[in-house]
Amino acid sequence: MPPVGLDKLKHIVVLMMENRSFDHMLGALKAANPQIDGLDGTESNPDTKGNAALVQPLADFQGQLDPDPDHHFPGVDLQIFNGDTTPDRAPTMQGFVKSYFAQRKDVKHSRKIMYYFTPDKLPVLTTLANEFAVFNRWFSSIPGPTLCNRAFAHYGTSFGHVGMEVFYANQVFKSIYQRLEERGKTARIYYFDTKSSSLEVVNLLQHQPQFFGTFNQFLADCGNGALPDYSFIEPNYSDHDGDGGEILASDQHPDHHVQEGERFIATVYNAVRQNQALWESTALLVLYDEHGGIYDHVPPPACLPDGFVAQPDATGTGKPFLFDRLGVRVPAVLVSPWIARGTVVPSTRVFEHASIPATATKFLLGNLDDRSPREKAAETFLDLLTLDVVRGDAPEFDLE
Amino acid sequence: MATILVPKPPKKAYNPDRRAGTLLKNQLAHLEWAVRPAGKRKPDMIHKIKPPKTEAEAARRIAALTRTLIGQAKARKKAERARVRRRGRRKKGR
Repeated sequence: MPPVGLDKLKHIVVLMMENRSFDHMLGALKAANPQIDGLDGTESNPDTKGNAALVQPLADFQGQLDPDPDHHFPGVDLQIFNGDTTPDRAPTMQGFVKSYFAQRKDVKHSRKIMYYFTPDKLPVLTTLANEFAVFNRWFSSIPGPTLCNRAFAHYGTSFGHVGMEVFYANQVFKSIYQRLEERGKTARIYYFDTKSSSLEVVNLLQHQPQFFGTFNQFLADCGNGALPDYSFIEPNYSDHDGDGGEILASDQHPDHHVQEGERFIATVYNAVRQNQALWESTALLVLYDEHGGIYDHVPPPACLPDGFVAQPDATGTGKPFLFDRLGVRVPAVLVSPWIARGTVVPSTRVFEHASIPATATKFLLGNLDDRSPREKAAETFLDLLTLDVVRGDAPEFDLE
Repeated sequence: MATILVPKPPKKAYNPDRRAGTLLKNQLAHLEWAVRPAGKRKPDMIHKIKPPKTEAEAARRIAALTRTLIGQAKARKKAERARVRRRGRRKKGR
């Protein structure tokens, strides 16, 4: 017999935010709960003058990470390996300050890459982490930027890409949306509005626009009980005017205001929470696509090679990349009334973005062979819905 | 559990004149590439697309291109359906 929550589960909703590391957003939670693999305050990086730059609880909502910290492949390589290019190098996570210094040549400013938020500044994300399940080891799929990492969430692979120029034709492995549709299930990507649009342009929006809707439609679908089996939500990527006036970017990408992202997460949560039938039959995963160049103390582990190779001209490091190491750790929280309060997913379980299509496929379709090696090997997460009785104590968020 | 208040960012946080970042520039470039006819998509054209200066400019262009792209996809689907119908009629006529 499966657990009751899993038996009642009908919908998986994924909200993927932008460019923040685990320690930056959730590292401070360790002080209250030592099970969470966050910060103890002694973690540091050397600055370019040789002094230790300690982690500090001084992260601000906006204006601090400008210019946008480097998160392209060579920059992340420096952050993880601190410039060591020897064959036996180990990931030390000692190159973040050095990497940020390279952008503005300002020692004082470069130390800000070590700043993290206190929980009171992030009431939504930290409440969800404390109230439901927080993952100690959810890594971005590639030590690189947004688009190749997001591809792992849609396809379970980036088809050999480590950058932003993802002009692949989707011939090898089908997206999770197409897999589901072909087998009679429903799936949708909700982008915020037309002015923000989707980041999944070249394959899905161009050829399969039937999978897309706007965030307003997501809200309506939640209210009407019309949510698909699988939903993927994209936040707003820019400050722009809209029908209701000024609309702030909600993706939390530096230098967008972090509080607006908090409000967006709360809006998604409330939309599911306020429909009791939907609430009891939905698992909501909130996570970030990559670390955005911001410090995290956990070295990304080696992983099963993806079967693709990125050549030295693509990696920019002078060396090929075999997709045999994960990217930097990101915040990830799973929300459901069937998850025990304060669940911390232990460090022995390693997740990455291929875990998303892996989980949706396993739950909605069962075993499917035609998937990337990484996806087939990826951990899945719905076993975290362990309770026999639905919780009645879930938090409520009031958007001022 | 008590209701948790989620504060609003200050009014000054809104800045549509902020420099468009790499993400928006890439998103726009992908859209520009995708709306072109297949024969006119050259690998190096991506570097020649005029990058947006501000987030507001990026948003305006992204909206227009998104509408065009979705319109093109719908037109392709309509043409495909019409082709299938024609093929069906021809088979019946035999």
